Amino acid sequence: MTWYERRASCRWSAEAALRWWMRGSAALAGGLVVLVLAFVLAEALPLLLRVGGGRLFTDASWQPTAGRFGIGPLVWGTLLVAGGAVALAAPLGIASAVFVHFYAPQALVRPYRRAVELLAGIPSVVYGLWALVVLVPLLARLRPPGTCLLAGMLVLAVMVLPTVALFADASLARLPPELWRGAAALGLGRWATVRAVALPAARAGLAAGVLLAAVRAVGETMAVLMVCGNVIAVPADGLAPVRALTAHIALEMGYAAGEHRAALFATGLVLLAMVGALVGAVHLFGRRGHHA
Amino acid sequence: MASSRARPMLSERGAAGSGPAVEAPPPGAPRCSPAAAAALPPLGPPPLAVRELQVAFAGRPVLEGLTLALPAGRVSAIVGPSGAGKTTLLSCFNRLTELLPDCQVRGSVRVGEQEVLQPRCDVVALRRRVGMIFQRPNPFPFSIRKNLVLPLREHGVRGREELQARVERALRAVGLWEEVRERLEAPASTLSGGQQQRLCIARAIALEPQVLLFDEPTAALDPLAAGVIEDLIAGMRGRYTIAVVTHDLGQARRLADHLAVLWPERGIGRLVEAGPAARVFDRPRHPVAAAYLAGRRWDGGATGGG
Repeated sequence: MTWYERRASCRWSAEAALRWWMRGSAALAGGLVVLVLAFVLAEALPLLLRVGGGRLFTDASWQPTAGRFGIGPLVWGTLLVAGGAVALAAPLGIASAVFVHFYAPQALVRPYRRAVELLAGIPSVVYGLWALVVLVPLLARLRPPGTCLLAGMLVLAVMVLPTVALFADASLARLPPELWRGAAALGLGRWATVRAVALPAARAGLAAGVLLAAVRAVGETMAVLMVCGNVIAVPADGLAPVRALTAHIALEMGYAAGEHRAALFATGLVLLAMVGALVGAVHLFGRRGHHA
Repeated sequence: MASSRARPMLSERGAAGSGPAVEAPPPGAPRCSPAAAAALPPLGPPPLAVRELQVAFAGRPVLEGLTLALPAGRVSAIVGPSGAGKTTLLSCFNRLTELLPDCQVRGSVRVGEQEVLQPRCDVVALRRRVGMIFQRPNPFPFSIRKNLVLPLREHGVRGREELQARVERALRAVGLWEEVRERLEAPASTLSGGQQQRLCIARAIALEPQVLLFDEPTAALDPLAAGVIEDLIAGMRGRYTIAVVTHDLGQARRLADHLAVLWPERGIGRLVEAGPAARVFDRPRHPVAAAYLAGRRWDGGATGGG
């Protein structure tokens, strides 16, 4: 064996080790997801098989110890809080990215980006605390106690705003510079370029950002639990209290046992399905973006 | 096909866009508003001219002392080695230099009677009058139809039939209509490179410009597609004033009525020779131009006849 062959075979074995290490990591990551899913399924399945999954949505109330497992109002709660938050955050986040890309003075761009990144890093309990001290008393002036759907929507909107903004920023940055030159050479002004060229061209990335913000909003627990009031009912208006799926699990898991516990796992399964659908939508948009 | 229809459109837009300038034209000053241009007696495409042009990036000059006239309705080729400032010169005619950070342009740049560098110049109207095609085809990431409709809409063209007619006319003008008429809604990215470049030319001429600037329009294309583009440019002679930047001297010889040779001297581009293409190619007066056009490397005159 010549020195070259020895080195080559040595390199090969190092490469093989690396390859196996990577395979192992990938398997671990994938395996954990499957394991979590399997565990939740295993915990929820006995109940679902016995009473039927449909009962989660058809039962009129949530009294798990009395055999009533209706989580319909909780699903509504999550949809309203998260949907409202995303509806508020999406236009603001996209506007923020457009500002930083096309209109911000050069000196402001870096500090602005850092600030948005910082906003993304603030723990949700801090947002919750701030909302509880500042936002809820303001809303309580309209109607006590102030912990309500609107409070949840607003605090969640602030929390997912950076997700939308950073994704929109990145997808605008990915657009090729030829696009700007082409638009300018055709006599398109800045606003026309933004509206008619940049935003439509970046639409796949923008949609992905909004959907990921929705994933975050649906999954958010702490802040929502702190400011929403947590009454199990479909809210009549924005100032009525509401309970989200996540808050529901967090509130009751401490003392749940037996079928109650299984029903909470079933709730978790519904939450997982919602997040799964959103993630699927992200990939759908991503793929369409590549074709466009 | 374009000029007779272009002028009423331009005058409408120009009157709306730069009203005050039309009401009180400064005596003697070169007028810039397209409305003023439209008020002149009908004429063909305008000549291009620069005088004592200096372009600098962040204070560092890249073009200096450039005085050059490109005849109306003719194809002018601008040649020279990389770094001679050819593209920069081209970008002065539609003020695309504004996109470059820290770029200062001084001197005079004229499109016909229009003084381009004047701050009052309506850049939107200017860029409508002066179209530009780039080295790499840059269609918008939308459908073929939307690529043409979008700039038209932004320039105030309304009505389905009017838009459809303009789309068809522009695509016919670049020989693309028969190839894409069945798939106007397909993404422009599904076209071949040469087709994309023709779409970009169609997009520019859909706005009915008078001047077309080509920045190495065939450099990114295979020889066959390049030949199609070249024929297209040749066929536009007379209808537009055309300036083509090219590294392909054969292309310059085939296309150009007028030739300008730029040369970088210590990093600063200067004009070394300009004139009718046949004369400059056959009997160049400047040794640098002679060497470049003959394909010889210029060694600064150390051994050459300069």
